[in-house]
Amino acid sequence: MARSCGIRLGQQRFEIVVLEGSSKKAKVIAAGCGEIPAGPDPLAATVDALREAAKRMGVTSENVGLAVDTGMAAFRNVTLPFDDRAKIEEVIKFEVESQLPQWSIDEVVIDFLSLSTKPAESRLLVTAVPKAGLRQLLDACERSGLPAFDAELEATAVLNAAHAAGLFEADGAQILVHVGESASAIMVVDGGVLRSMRAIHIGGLPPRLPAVPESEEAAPSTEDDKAGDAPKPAERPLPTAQESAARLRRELGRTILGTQTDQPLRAVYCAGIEIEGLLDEAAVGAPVRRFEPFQAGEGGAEGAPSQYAAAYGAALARLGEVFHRAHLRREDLAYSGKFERLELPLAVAGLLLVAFLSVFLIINYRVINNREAELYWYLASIKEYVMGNPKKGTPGYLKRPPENLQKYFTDALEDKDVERTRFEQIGRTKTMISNEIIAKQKLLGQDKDIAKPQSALEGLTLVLGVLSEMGDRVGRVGLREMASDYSAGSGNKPDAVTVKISLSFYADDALIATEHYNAFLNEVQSKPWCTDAPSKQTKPLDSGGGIYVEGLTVTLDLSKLQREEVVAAK
Amino acid sequence: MKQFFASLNFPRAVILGSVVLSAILAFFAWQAHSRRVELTDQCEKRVKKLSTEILDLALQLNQYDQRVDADQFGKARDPESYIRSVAYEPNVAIGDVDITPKPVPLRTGLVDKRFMIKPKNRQQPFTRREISNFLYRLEEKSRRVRITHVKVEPQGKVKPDEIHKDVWTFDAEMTSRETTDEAPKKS
Repeated sequence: MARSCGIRLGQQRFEIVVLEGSSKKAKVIAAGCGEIPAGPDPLAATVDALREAAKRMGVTSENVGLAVDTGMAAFRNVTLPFDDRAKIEEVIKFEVESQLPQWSIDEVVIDFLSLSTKPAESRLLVTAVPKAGLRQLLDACERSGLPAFDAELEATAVLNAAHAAGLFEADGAQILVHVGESASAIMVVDGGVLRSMRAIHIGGLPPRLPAVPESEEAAPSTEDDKAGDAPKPAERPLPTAQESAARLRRELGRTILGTQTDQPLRAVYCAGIEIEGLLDEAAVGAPVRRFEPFQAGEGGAEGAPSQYAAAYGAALARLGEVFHRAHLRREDLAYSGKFERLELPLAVAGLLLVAFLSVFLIINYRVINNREAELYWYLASIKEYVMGNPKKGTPGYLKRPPENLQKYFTDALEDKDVERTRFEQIGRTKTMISNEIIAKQKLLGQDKDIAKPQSALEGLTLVLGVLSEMGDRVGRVGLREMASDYSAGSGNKPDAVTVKISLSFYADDALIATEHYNAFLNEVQSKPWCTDAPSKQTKPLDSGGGIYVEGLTVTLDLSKLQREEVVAAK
Repeated sequence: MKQFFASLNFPRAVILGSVVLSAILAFFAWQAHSRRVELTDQCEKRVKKLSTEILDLALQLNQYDQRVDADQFGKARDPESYIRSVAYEPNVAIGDVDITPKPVPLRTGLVDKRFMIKPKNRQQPFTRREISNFLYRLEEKSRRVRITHVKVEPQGKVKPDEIHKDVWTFDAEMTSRETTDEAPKKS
């Protein structure tokens, strides 16, 4: 349920009312009042007093409304030839400027109440409140942890409270009197419509410290009762309670006599500080009653409920629709919460962030463009190196460049290959050349996937090469038959070449020839490509000058042969 | 929402706009930064290596082109023509030969195309130089073929202790291992 807090803050005392519900049906949750101790620093004293009261009453900083001394304001009547509120807001300050010679228009907050409106005419009661005094009170609230969302005069707050209490009758007129600390407000309501409002510098408490500059004059009635500027408190003798009551009664009489109401006057309602003798007598034929906005003791309120009328009205205004919505927090006094205070720095920070990101983005794009240009240059250079440059007459590495490669280079340099980045385009040319090489390898039978058969010719040459290498160590050898066959491997058995030779070893005798044969066999067996070379039975030659070996079989694995090209590749 | 826009003053509009714009800009800035880092890496490190590799490959391709040009087996109309062209070379002078093709399928997709080569006249004697030149040239002129069988015997009957006339006869087998999807040669 919605909650609100109303504070009436004066120079010497304050009242706080906490409401719950709506403006039409509000319940008092807490109510309290307090004195502001006199001292050299009234602002600090106010802050401390408010903070202590808020803590005691458990008041939170949500939805706070402030009612300030009516004596701070000056009232002026203005008639404008239109009734549009937005237009009135625009012009009211300039309209009333000439009627407030005592202040610079920029030093006051201008608000207004609409007394009567016709389609082509608005009668307004303009209130002017000095910003300096209002700012002090708002600062006090803020520093005490109860920042006010809006501020209004005690008079309008009491008016709202009375309206909510149902005092205004359609068939009668009422007079509302709010006795403040240094000034009192008198409002005439006729048939439920506000007729006039005036401030009288007669308060319920003797003045103590001029904390805020008071308006220099008492506002006249709405009609033509414009009083002169009010004398400063220090210049006036302090009135007694009886004198104040007597003066107020006189002013009431003047008001009643000076106001022509359409409806009969039913009663005079008094709120605020109670002045002895004010309520006891009938004033000019009308009964004087105490206005009590809620039951005594409700919400823990101390004293008469009538003294809380202004705070009650200020709290009501924060709950919803009221009789008159005053709005004194405007221009440079406009409410600003924590976020509002951070708005401007955040906006600046946001703009700086956008600027920083924009610059960062621009720099990155420039670097990217430069890098792209660099890669383009690489691609063009590769093309020139690989394909040559006919215009310059320089040959390329490729004597017969493949057509597809030539076309791709052209397309890439003309940005026709949009699917690839520039670097990928360069990589693509490498792939195309590699593919060409693979195609050539296949054409040459060098497909890496196909193992070529081993050469029987090479195997035979290797074995016979051993005879040649050994020279005199094998003596004279006569070849009788040579055969070499390749056999494909299967399973774990590798490819092999089987060399079968029959040969005669000539020597002085069989013993020497056998030694030559054994030397040859040992040499063959020591070769890395030899996988098997079993000794074979020898026969002495019939002539006795050597031996004959028939069908010497040597098995070779040429994959173990350390070819020069393989070694070079490694 | 209505209340939000009702209280939308200039600083708030700037904040809102900044947040939205910053989010968009941050996304694009992140993308651009990533691209920049990638391009810097490519330009400063990878592209130089890649360029060198491409030029090396171009040189290799050129060499392969030259090898293809020199590969007589590939140029010949068919393997038998290739063998006969070698047999009639001046330093070989083997003359006419009988060629018997024998395709031997290996594992899936491969076939050994074998050609048994024998002199037309079995009584014709050959020197070792002629036979070895013939077989060597068959392998040397094309990397696609291997001699997978050789048998060299003396011409005529020779006893073990007899020094013969160094004239020989031979038979050999040349093999070209190919994939079955390659264009079949006339056999």
